[in-house]
Amino acid sequence: MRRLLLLVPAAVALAGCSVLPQSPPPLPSTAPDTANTSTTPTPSASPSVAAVTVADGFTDQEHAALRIRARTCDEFTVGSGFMLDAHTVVTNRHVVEDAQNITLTTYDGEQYEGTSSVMADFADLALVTVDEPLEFAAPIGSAEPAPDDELDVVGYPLGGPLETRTGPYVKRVPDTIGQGRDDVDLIKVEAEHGNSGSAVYDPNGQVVGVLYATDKKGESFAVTLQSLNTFLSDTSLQLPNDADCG
Amino acid sequence: MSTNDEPTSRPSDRETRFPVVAPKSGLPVFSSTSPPPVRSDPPHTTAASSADASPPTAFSPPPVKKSHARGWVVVLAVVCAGLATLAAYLWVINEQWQDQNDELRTQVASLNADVAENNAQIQGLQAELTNAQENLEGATGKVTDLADSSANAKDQAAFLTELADSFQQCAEAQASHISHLENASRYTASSLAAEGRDVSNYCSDVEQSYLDYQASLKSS
Repeated sequence: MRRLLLLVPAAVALAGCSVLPQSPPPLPSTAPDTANTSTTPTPSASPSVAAVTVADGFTDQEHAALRIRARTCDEFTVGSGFMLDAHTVVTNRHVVEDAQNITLTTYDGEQYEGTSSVMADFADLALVTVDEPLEFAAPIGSAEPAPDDELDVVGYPLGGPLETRTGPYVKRVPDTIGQGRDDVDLIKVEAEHGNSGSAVYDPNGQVVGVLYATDKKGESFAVTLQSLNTFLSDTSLQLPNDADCG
Repeated sequence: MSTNDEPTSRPSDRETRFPVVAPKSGLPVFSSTSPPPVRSDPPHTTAASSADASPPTAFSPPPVKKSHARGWVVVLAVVCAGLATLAAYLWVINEQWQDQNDELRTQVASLNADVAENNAQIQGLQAELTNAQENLEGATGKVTDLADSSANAKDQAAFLTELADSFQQCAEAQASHISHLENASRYTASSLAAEGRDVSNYCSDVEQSYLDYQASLKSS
């Protein structure tokens, strides 16, 4: 009888320590069907792919860039510019001032002829009009760049191949190089002759300035977004560009 | 004197003189001084004081043992039946788990094969993508270079056209000056000299422009 009494708690203890295994649960209905498993891989985003925003390998900024050759009274000048809309190009005043004819070339070599131009006297800015419609347009920014913002300068240094150069925005400084009255933006980017008129893009791909000078020490100067907006919005500030070759 | 000192190997000799008392342990105990204890258990006293005095009946298991044994048998039977049921249940469950395990292993193997195939495709596509990117970069570079070459060629063409026009104007000016010299009587000497200087300066400028152009070609 005592053994039985010992056996019962032992059995109870064993039962308490172990649970009888149950049947396996049915496989979920969402279990992958090996016959229909997709063999199409999910592409992983590649930074080098994401950087290309258009199908032909050029960026929107490069599409909107223009090489400008101006024939003045006594010389040829070469600079840069960018498409503002279907018939308007923004560049520097000193690129097209006193130009008798202006020739514009796109990133892929297509050529346009400028039919007229206007200039600003308060900043180094000019607008060139073309008859044939342009295919792209650079968006004008709504906010000034902040210090250390990485800015892209897209243009044709030395009148050579199209280049995008990048550098941080430094600060706003007085214009001590050009003949403008407005302050200008200092950017730590190395530019060359020929970059004059290049669009300055913020990290969002919007125009925040127009490059117009360099100190050859790795720093460049750009007309500010505020000056650009003032020039674009007030036609009374757009002075005719009449060449007087006397 | 302990009962253990007196062996019980001769119970039949003393059985007529001393009653046998069966203790709880089941072994007989001899007592010479004290009367046998009064047992309240009738079956035991009946067996010990039976007039028939049938020997060694005191060593046979009491009836209560048989009931215990039957109880144990029942318990064991129940336990065995339970264990058998449990074993059968576990066997069925085990079979189910093994079947599902086999099915899952088959699916895993198939999925592994698919994953390997997909990885191979991904690697192939990545290689194609890399190749396409390189080709695209090469193509954009060529487009840029061609556009640059075209623009510079047009620059030179425009410059050379102007230079040719300037040489043409120089030649025309020189021809005009020569004509004036041939009819020098019609002009003052000072005016002819001034024209000659102007023509010479203009043609020198044009020639210098051409020399500068040639120098720029050599430097580039």
